[in-house]
Amino acid sequence: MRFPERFLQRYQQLAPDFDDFLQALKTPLKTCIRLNTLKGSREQILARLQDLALSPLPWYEDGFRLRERQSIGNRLEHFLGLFYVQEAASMLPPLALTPQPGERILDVAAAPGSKTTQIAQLMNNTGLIVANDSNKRRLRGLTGNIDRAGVLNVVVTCQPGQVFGKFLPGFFDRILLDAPCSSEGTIRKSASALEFWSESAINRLARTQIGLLISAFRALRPGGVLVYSTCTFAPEENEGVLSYFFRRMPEAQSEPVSLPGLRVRSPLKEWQGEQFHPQVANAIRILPQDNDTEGFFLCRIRKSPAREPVTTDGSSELPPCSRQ
Amino acid sequence: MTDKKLLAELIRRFGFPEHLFSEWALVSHNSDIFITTPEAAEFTTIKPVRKGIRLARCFPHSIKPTTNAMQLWGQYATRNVIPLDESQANSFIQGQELKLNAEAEDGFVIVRYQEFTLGVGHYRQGILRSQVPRSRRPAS
Repeated sequence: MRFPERFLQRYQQLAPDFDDFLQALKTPLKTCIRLNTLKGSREQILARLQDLALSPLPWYEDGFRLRERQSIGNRLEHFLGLFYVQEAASMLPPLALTPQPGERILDVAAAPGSKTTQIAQLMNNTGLIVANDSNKRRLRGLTGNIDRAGVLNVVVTCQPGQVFGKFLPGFFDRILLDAPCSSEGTIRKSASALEFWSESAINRLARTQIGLLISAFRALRPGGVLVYSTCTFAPEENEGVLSYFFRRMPEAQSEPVSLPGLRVRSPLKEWQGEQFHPQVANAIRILPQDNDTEGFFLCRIRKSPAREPVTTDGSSELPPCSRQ
Repeated sequence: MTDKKLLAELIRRFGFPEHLFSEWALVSHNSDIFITTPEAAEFTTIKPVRKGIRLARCFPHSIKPTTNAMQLWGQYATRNVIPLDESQANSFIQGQELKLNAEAEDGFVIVRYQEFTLGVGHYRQGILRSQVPRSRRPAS
């Protein structure tokens, strides 16, 4: 695998253990699966997968890594939807979102549905998930995975992600914006992200991400939670997008993400001379060498409950907005 | 037939508990019935591509439940259920035809392997034809 020279120059400051970082990127990923408890109990599913060498992910009880390279897509259990092949790092954004049963959730860029189906599982198939993707060609994969996973609490839409703030202001309890990105973190799965890699593409994507994030935030109810995530290392698409966003949206507050057992790195404080907004400090970077995963970035953001009544128990978690 | 009558026919044919689907919302689209949550059924602000999953397809004189829906509710069926062994189950999910003698009426049936529902088949004169959609069949 050959890395563009500029790629290497940019990311030397990302990790003090840069050689480990590069070595991890050159190492193929092991397959990970998520048990789909919408289709069976954890015990029931694990009993059927006893012949697989599975290691549990320390930070998620339904996540497992295959210790050996095996083809599992043809198994009866896969046909039955009892498990979903999903990269470990991709399981993080729904966990950081902490969706609750009965809530209204928006997944802005949902295809192919790994995170939508995981959110449905966390909600036990209740409430509402609007699973949107602007690309019509990607909807078949999304609906196919919804069918196989048995997701009932979903409305699939095909709209530009930027419309939600305008048409549904303050509607959603929680929003996942797993933004389209330069996908540098997926190099271990496929080196194709490097073939089209360029800084101009990164800057173009960052502008799109800002538009998506601002619109999504408008669609969030006061007190609601938004998770912004990407699978790239590019600071312009991560800390840079968030820094711009926090300057424009004073009612947005970042929150720490707690996933015991997961090794995370702090976000950058500055990049190429730009000092990032202090709110960015709660974001987390997932580097491939730390948990044997893809690279990932995410930040949990709460909308200030400024004009909402204060809860009697003093908790910051407000109940879902009243149903129509 | 109305949605209520179609649902009653589904419950009758497979011996489902009467209130099995009562907490869910049904949404009709052309000749299909989709099943979803009440919250999703009420969502109308943005044009949906679809809601929930397809419960059944309706024909003039019959109703065909989908494999995807029966993988969720097939376990509650008490009539017109055909159990398969492992070898038969693998053939069935590949879309193959099976010759067997089953205690089932002619027409659509629910097909099981152990405690899991594999999907929907069509049974007639000792032949079970898999109705598993091509897109769901494992690559052979």
